[in-house]
Amino acid sequence: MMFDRDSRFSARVLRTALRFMPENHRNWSRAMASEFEAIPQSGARFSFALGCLKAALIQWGHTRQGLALIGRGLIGSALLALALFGLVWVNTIDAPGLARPVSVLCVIYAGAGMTAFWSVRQLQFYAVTGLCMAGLCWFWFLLAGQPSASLPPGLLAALSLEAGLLMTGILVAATYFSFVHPAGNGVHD
Amino acid sequence: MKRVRAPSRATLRLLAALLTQPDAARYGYELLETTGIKSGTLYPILMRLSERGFLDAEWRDSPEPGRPARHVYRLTDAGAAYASDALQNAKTRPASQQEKAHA
Repeated sequence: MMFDRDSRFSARVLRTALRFMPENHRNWSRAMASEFEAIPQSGARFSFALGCLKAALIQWGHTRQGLALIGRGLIGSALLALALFGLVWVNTIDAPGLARPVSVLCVIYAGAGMTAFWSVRQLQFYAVTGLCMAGLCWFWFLLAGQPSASLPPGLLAALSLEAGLLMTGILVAATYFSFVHPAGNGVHD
Repeated sequence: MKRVRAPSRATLRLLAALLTQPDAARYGYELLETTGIKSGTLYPILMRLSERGFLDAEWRDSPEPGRPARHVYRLTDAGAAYASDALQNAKTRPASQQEKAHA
């Protein structure tokens, strides 16, 4: 039934909201949950649950943990934007010899810094990032050296794009795994 | 010196609704319907008013059997005085300042 499905979805939104509510506001979580039960219409329930999510996020954003995570998110996003911008820029410069791989290394470091900032103690992240950096530097080194002169520009662009996508994929995977398996590295806080 | 911010329009609307019957205990949903404020705005205001000692929040058994107990809200004496002052000040304040005010 449409009504039941909508209500279940609204209840899920509310449960998410209550999870974000800081410990010292648990009483308010209970108040929201019991009020939700008393709302008869499905549409009003959804609107109520959505509002509770907003309220809980505001409260959570004022906690130390919330502020720290928002700060990390902002710095991480800035680093990611810098890394992506750098990747595009590096691809446009006509740099001979080692200049291009070194520039790429810096860009990858900036990208790696983003995820390292989120999970400083995640060893598996360093392993993945190290491999990623080594592989990509080698790849770029080949492209910046003699072989690149003999490659058609279209293929060069495609390979560069592939390298960029590969790096993004690996960084996303490293971030994901460091969040999903935070205790899987044998390092304890 | 701590700067006291003027209450927002949503807060004023809530205070006005609570002040119409200062002794009556109101449910959250009832306040949403009366004031037209969304729950995402209402609950942070209720929390703030409660923390400042302007609002009493207590649990009351639901009139419908099998339903969980619900929170009811009522202005304290200090809250009623604050609400009267805030509403009075809002009447004398220029509209442009009211728009800028936050809760």
